[in-house]
Amino acid sequence: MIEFIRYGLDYFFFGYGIALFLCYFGFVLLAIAAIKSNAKRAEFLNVNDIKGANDLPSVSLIAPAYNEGKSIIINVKSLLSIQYPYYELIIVNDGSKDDSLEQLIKEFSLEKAIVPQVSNLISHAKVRDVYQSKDLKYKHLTVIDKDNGGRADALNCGITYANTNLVLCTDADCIIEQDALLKMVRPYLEEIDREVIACGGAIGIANDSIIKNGTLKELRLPKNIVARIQVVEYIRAFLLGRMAWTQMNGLLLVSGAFGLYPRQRVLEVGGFDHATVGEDLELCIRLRAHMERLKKPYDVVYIPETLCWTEAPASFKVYITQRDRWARGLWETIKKHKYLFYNRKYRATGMLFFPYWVYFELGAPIVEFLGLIYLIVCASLGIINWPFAIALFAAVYLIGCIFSTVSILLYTVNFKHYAKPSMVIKLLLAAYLESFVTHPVMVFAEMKGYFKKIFGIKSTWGTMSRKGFTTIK
Amino acid sequence: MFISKEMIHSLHFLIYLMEHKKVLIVYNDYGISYLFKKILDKPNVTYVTANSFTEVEQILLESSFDLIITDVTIEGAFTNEYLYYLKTKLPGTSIVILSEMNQNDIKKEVKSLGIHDFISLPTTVTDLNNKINCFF
Amino acid sequence: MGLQDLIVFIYFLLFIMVLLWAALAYSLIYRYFRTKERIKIKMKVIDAIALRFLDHKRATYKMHWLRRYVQSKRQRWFIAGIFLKVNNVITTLDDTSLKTMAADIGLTKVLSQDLKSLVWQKKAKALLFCYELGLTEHLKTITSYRNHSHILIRREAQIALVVLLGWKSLKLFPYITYPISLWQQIRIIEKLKIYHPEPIEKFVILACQTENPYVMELLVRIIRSFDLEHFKGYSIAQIESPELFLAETALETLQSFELNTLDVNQINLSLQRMGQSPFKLKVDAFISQHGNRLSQQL
Repeated sequence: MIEFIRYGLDYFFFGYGIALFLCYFGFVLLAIAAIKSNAKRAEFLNVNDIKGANDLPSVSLIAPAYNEGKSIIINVKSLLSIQYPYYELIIVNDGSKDDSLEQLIKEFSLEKAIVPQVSNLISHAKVRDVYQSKDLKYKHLTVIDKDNGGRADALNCGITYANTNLVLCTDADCIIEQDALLKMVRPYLEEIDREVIACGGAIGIANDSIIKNGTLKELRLPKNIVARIQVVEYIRAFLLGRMAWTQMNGLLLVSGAFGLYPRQRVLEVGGFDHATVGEDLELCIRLRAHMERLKKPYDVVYIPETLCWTEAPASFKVYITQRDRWARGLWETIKKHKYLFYNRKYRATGMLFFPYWVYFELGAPIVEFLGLIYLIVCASLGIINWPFAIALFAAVYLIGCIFSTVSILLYTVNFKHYAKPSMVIKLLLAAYLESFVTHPVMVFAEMKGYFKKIFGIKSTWGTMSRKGFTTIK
Repeated sequence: MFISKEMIHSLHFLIYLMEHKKVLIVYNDYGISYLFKKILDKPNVTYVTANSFTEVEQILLESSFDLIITDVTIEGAFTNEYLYYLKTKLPGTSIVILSEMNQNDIKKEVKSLGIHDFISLPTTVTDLNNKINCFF
Repeated sequence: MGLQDLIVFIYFLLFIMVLLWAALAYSLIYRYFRTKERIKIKMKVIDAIALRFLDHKRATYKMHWLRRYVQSKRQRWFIAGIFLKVNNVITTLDDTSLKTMAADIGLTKVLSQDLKSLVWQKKAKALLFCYELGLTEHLKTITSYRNHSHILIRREAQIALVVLLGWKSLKLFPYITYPISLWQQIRIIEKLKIYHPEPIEKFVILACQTENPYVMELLVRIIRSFDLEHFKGYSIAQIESPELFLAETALETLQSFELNTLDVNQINLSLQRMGQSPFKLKVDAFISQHGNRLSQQL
């Protein structure tokens, strides 16, 4: 019996691993196809042509801010430096306890204004005041000061004040590339028989980079190893994972830090969900389910180029907080939308994409954690063939390294951000250290998040203390 | 009255300085800014090109200009603040916008910031020369 | 699988890794030299274009090196790209034009061959080049691509027809069966404004026979962009369209016109026939706004 269980477990872990590697291998092929087709299409829709066009969809940039006093001014300037002819910027001060609002009022010459709410279809915490600038320079800027209600609530509040076709939900601590919007609206301009319900752009890590006037002046690799490894992690996730899903039209997640949605559709589904900490994933799944119910063809699109830069956690403490939150968000969303699981009514979303997330996104840390326990038990019972186990570990490690190297190669070939040989070498070294440095911590953090959900331990968003970008005048 | 050769040279140099104009051309694409420089080329006018806000800042630290021809958006700064920066840094200098981003809202906004002229792209060589020559 | 097999597999993985490193190194070196070379070529081509603009007779002699670049498959589209970029900022006429310069250096000839290419990307690029530089001699080939199954070939061909034929091309609109993207609509209007700013209404009337809602949307946009007040009735008729994008564009268009009592009554009739929806509320708000304005005028 024990033998039978042992073999059963052996084959389960082996089968799971093979299935995961096959998925990743498929992702590499799909991602290459997606990046190529994206580049070919981009040749026919130049950002300079979009710049000068009339009749473009108008866009509201909505950025919630909570206690961002350290960097609020530089970040608002970054958001104002976006090149797009029809846009407005809405900063939602989500009941900050620091001097964020005072700083904004002073820097941008804000004064109270009567701005009507465009929609009352979604609820949010009470708005205290709305501010606009006296200075013509900042006529695109609106600041909403409201009671604290969390990120989702702040975004919902911003959406109800937006009077545009599209809404770009971002964070006030992000540095956005100046031509990001011109690139992000491309799918909306080109859509014909499928409605684009969400569009995301790759997010990059800018720790230790130089910021000037709210724009990225010089991209540098983070000095800290935890942050540097996350650069590789982000490249791999965005370039391989999300591009592959885009190619299959199976993308279930558009990052909360940088997602563009049609305002009307977001209002129809009731905006972001306050009850989850994974509001970006939840909204995207809800939008997909909504379109499936309406039986309307739709697309969720990803732009492979890094268009938004953020600061990654540079300490294990903050890293664990972040990944714990992401794990809880994933758990909550999967639980909320469990009706999708193998539900034919929702076609590929229910039959393929959602089950993948259950098995390989939600399931992977659990399987890994169980595998580790199994390994310890086997080792203590002395039933491990050590030479074979070590060789197997080396093979698995090398496969992981190959996937990371492929993603770095794809990024280097297609985009210019990490074009210096020294940067590429540093990235490769970071990629090869990932399995030993951040990965075990990530599994621990994700399991911590799951345990909190299983045992009903209440937990909040979690404090994300940041150093702030290096800015020069 | 005796006028020395040196005096005549100095006088010529003074006239040259008075007639000589300096123009800054700012455009994100270095090829296009170079094209404008070539097309607008004429005696007594020196053209300097810049392709980003950082370059503009650097150039303005070293010299002043009689005319600035610039795109409405420039890498490294946001539109309105960039134009405001030019206006405050060189209060007496004329600024002409030369841009593909020529929607009515943008034109109105730029005008309200006190910009002298807005040339929508594409334009013809003759039109471009005529409009720029008005400033000399 | 035994230990020996696993070790062989590890060697295989290491070999793949070495290949990937080599590819990375090659891409970095290749990019470095290509960027350097392209900057040089770009400046030389811009120099030649500027000289052509200012003194075309002198410039004609100096283009042998450019002809050589055009013959190279690797550089051909890069040179064409520079031409298109310049064309977006400077328009020219007659013998100083980019069109004649492209013909002189043989660019037109080699790119026109791509019009018949089996690769969609080459074909679509050739179409783009044809209309940006006004190559009317390929009109027949371009017309045959107007309903092509590939979206980008179809799109570029339809834009090319508008550029090359002007308002007359609107005659072909009722035969367009595929949807038209917003970007294509924007480009068509932009090109009409640049190359054919005077609208010819008889062709607009012919185009109005279309039953394709996307073409209808384009027509409504044309009516707004060219201020074709005679056609505001066409926009009013689209308000009831089951296609929300068309109805919304029609409403936006009507906002740019002065409406009389008859127009408002007509919209009111449409409103009564509509089911409850957020769009109905929008139309309602629009009517009351205009109703108030009209009563003030009276």
